[in-house]
Amino acid sequence: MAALWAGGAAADKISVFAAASLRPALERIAADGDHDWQFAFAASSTLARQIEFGAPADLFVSANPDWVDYLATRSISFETRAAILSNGLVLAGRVDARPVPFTVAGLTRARDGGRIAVPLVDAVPLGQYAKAALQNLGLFDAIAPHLAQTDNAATARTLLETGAVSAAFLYASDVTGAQLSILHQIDPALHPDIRYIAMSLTPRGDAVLQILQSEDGRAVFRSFGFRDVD
Amino acid sequence: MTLDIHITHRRGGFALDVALTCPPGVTVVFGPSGSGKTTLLQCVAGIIRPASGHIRLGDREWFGAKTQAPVHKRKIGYVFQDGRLFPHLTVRQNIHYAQRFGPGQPPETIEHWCTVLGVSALLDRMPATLSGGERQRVALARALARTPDVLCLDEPLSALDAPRRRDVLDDLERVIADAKIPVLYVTHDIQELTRLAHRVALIDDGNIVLSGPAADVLTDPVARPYLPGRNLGALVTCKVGPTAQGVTDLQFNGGTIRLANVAAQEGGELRLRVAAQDVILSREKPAGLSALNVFQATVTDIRPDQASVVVSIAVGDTTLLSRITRVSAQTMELQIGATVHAIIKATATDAMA
Amino acid sequence: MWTDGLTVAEWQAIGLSIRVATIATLVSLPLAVAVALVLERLRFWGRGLLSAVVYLPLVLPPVVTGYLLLISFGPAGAVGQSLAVFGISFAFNAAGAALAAGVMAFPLIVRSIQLSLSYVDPGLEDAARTLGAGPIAVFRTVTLPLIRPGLLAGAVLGFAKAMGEFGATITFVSNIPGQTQTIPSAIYALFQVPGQDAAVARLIIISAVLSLGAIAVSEAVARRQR
Repeated sequence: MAALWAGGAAADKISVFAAASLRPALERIAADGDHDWQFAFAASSTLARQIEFGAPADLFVSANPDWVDYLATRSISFETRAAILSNGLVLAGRVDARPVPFTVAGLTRARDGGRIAVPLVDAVPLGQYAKAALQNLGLFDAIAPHLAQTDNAATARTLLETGAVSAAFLYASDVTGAQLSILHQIDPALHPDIRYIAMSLTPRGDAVLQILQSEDGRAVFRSFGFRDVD
Repeated sequence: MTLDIHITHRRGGFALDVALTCPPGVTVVFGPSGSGKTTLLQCVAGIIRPASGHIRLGDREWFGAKTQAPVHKRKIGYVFQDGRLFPHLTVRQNIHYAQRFGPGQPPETIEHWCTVLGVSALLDRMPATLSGGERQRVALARALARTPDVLCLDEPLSALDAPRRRDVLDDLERVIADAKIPVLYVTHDIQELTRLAHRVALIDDGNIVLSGPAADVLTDPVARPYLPGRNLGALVTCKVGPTAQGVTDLQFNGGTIRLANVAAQEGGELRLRVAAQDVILSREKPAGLSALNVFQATVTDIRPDQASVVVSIAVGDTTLLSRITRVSAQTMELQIGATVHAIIKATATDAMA
Repeated sequence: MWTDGLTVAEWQAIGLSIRVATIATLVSLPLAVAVALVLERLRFWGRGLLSAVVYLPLVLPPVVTGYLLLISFGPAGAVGQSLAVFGISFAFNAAGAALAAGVMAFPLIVRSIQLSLSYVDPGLEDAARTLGAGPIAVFRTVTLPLIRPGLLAGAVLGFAKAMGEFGATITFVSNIPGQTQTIPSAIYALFQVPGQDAAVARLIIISAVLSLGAIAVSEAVARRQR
């Protein structure tokens, strides 16, 4: 029974709370290094609330700035805060699908009579970026009835992979290495910058943050489809 | 109509193999617990499907090689040991339940039974508020309201205490004694048998050991192992004669028994159970005895029964049994055909109107 | 009024939740009675298997149940494609939300009915048969009235479960405002954005009031029947 209460805050491990989309890349970096890492992957919103109420995180990596700002206003003391990564927004399709233009006609062809999966357009960062891009071109109202909003990026990808939809708005990193094709690379100028913000809460977190920002670290992220911050 | 049962059934290590003919009137199925009485009744009702054989009522086949009439098509009135009143219906709704599925008894008839069975005042009650005796009365009324072609009663009084049992038995007798349909009455109680049985089927370990008119079965030597102690005795049907000074004449086929404190209408019929222990034999005509009832009789059978001897005697056309010690039997030099005098110690408690 | 603060999307979520939970419960009930009867009264080969399938959603993570629904009843699933021939679709619509909620609520409804069935003395059904009731009449006049409390409890439990269902629903039919965004999905969406605590609290209260209301109504009905 005692084992149930252990874990979580094991003193010798470095606790990293990170947005779920970072999982493959972070696990690779951890496997390459010498530190003993302990990960918690979930939606940035969930992790932020857990940290707010005392979760023992050394480092928090959020998929957007909002939740880091949120923690800052809750007087959570932190060491360093830095934008460490960027990502691209893509319209993804099945592996054999052909590219489409980013127009009503193109999107109609992409959804192929069905819906386009996208994480919640008013709540999940990826969905917010997609909505912004669509609104910038005046496409949103036309396509809104044909969106299938999911709770996160992974679910959107599942819908696409199981064939429930023919297209989905995803991060470029989601498509890398998956059995999917890119129907359209969305112009980054159409949506706010996609920024992964890291926040170190302890000196040990600071040390890990430096590993992520090192050239080796960034190389791993790039190999998983992420981009450097300009 | 006669109910003709000829079935075999097997369940686990228990085998039922029964051949029984039940004419209209009460056939008491009598036997020890676990002898197959309830199984037999459930086969008749169709709740259990026998392995083979047939069950026929008149020319209708309820069960046969190719037939198994469903329970609800058999027109059975069934009174269960535990009543089984529907707990969500009032007494009235319970009694009238069968009317939902076809024309039943006219309301006056049901009303009449409710009066006879003393449930008229209970009609608006829920079953949970009834006593055990009331419950069985309602169950009987409900079964009768079905207008049954055959009535099955499965130890209907066994859940009741002795005084309550006597009460319900009185009512039960009133309702089923003159039944024009076959009535199968399961019990292991000798009192109920004496009071109700026209015929008796003695069942043991799944087989009918003996069946026939009640008086014959009770005095048959084959039945002795099933009638221990005071249960052994003869059944004498009497006509109630005049009463003088508190003593009533009961005329039977062989003479007149005089009993005190008999509550019976003159001219009516009365069944008297004369226990074997209550019949004393004497070679000489006894003189100066207080007992009123002494009859000359002929010995028809002598049979050892455990430590004693059971002697069958004929008084006129009526057979009586007497249990005496072996020593007495030897001293008296009893043998078949001998003439004896039988002294009956019967009291009114054995007389049942 | 405190309800003034509710947005159109929130009102939609409330209306949809009630509709979805009601339909899920009503459609599940007769089916649950049939399944409970089969599980409780019949002894047959494969009974254990049927029981396992019925109760699976109770032990599986809801997301897995939703995923299984997606790959079978989804637009690309075998069942989904067969039904599409008849113009029936559970893809990303309220019917799909009701299906997910119904599947999740089903084991609870069956359990409740099965339990009350186990308290019905089969002897009473035999008694009804001797009084002339055929199989359907026995069920209608004896079995059904006697399991009514379990039926009611199952319906309330199923309704409350359907109201609160989230994992399977969002996985199977996603989170489309007005079509599949039920109260829990709306709460989840609001949770993703900082500063929506008040809206979350409103929806939680409404959700609780609706479920407790259903329980209160059922208790009142049960009392009246006694």
